[in-house]
Amino acid sequence: MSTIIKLQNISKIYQTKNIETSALDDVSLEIEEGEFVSIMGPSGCGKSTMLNIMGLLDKPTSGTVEINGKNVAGMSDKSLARLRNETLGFVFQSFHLINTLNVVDNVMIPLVYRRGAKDKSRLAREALERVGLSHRLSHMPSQLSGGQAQRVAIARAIVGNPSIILADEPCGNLDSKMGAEIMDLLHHLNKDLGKTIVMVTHNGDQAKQTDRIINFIDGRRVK
Amino acid sequence: MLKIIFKNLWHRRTQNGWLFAELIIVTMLAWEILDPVAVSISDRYLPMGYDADRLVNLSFISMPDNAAEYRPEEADSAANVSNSSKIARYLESLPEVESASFVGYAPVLNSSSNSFNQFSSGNPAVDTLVKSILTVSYYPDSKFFETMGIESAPGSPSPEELSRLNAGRSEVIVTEDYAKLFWPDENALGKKFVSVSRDGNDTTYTTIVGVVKGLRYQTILRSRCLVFINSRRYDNKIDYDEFTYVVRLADGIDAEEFVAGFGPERRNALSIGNFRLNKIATQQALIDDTEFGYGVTSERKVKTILCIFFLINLVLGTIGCFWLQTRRRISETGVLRSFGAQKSHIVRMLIGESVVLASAAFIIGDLLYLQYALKEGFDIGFTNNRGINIIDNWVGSFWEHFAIVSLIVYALIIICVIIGTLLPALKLSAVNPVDALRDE
Repeated sequence: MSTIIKLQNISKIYQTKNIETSALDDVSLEIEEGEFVSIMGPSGCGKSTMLNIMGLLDKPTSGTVEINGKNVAGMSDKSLARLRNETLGFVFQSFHLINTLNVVDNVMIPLVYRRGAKDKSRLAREALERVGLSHRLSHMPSQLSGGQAQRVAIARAIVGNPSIILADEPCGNLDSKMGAEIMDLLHHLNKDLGKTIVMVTHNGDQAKQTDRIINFIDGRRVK
Repeated sequence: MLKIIFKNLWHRRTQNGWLFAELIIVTMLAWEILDPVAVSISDRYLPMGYDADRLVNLSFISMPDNAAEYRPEEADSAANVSNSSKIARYLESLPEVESASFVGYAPVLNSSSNSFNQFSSGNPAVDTLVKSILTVSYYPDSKFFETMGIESAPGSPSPEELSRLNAGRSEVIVTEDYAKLFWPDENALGKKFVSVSRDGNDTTYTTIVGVVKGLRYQTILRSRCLVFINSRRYDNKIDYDEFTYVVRLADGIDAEEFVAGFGPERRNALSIGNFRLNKIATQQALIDDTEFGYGVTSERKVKTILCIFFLINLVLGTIGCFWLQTRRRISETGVLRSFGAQKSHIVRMLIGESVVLASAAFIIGDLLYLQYALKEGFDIGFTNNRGINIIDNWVGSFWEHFAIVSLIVYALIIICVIIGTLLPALKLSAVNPVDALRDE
């Protein structure tokens, strides 16, 4: 297995007028291809910040980020967007589906920004089939239950066939039954499709189901 | 991308409905405001048909007999003719001057005093189409046509020959555009206008002895129809109390500079006999004066200011509307950025939405205004344009007018909408995806 995500000496400081807040303090970690890793820790410990930095949605104050062996420092907005589009898929706690688009169109979003993508609709339908939602194609997000909405979000994360899925408390807004279903789905993506998954969670039981747990406290990794 | 744009618009139809209705009204208002400006600007910059840039008018007066410098021996008609010729020779001796022409009491082209006449060819099919025509007097042997820069139509005598032509009472020179109203497919040279007396007993004929290319009498008129008659067709008497010379400057000479540099030495040299130079002005200044005299300048200013005010409001209004709309979409842009949208994609999507919305609203507003225009007609500019023959111009052609102003209105609305959307779109695209995703 090769290293797919490598973070070295990552620090993130949020600076406001008079206050300096350190969200991450000299964190290093490596994630291997095909791993299912969970990040745990109390609220405000920097887990989501770490996930955002891994997902190239935020930039560290210092330190280096390598995705698939590429150092992303100095990359243009265009290159970062392309890397996000081709390599990363996101699953958010509050789903973040676009309310004005139906299920298929929501799933198609990554393909809209993919160069030369063909058969977008077919790929979106296949992704929805994989998450068991082929019967909800033309539904609007407001017509879905929480579990269904998260399945759509997962379908959107995998439709572009990224190698990494970053999930920020994917079961946080779901009841235990729905949460279990989503966890099963993530395991299926990891085992059967070989996706590398990094999941932020508060739930110890869910974390135990993953290959490795990384704990954070006060912006630092706890060994 | 286009699919997303249409879907976004459709799903936000309640919010967009107001904006859509507003843009329909804006389109109709834009028509009402931009149409007169478009017509006015078009009229102003239509080619004059003669080279006005290098013309300068010099107005002379004859001193009253109680003036101290008045010389009675220089007051008879022979002395007047001789002194007027000396003025012409002096003007033509100036290095900047190419030719000079005596034009009588007032400058001919663009003068605010003008006379109209009516001609007919005896062919009822075309005579009913022809309305009043502006008549311009010229003095033979005064280099009139070449000095004014009027060109001959193919097959007609040259400008120099026309200037020398001592046309008789029943002879006229016409513009090609006017001739084509009567004889569309034939050379008008030698053709005759017909005039029948009221009792029907007498028929007089007026022969066309020259045809020149179309030219405009005034910048406010859209017609290129003129008839030139010999000022001296009835007698040889010339009134020298007030008269004007028009000079054509040599190529490369700036008329404004020529007028500004026309110093006391030259003015003194032109004090010949009892004649004194009263005023010197470029043809452009004359055009400006005429426009001002007719109220066209102030009307154009008011229309233009109104138009600018309207466009500024449109831009600010659009910025306001789209600002409010886009602020609600921060989270959405965060999602799009997370899945690979670049900043430029966000900007393009938002601008695309506003362009599609504005285009759809424009089509409806444009068609609604068309219903009004079918009943009331379009703006045709200066009111005198109704009375004379308007030819070969988009302003008078209903559908051409509709198409051209529609394009102008559409282009301006789209430009304003793009400017109005660009600012909020750029601001929105610059929001960090993490911050955008936090915005619920």
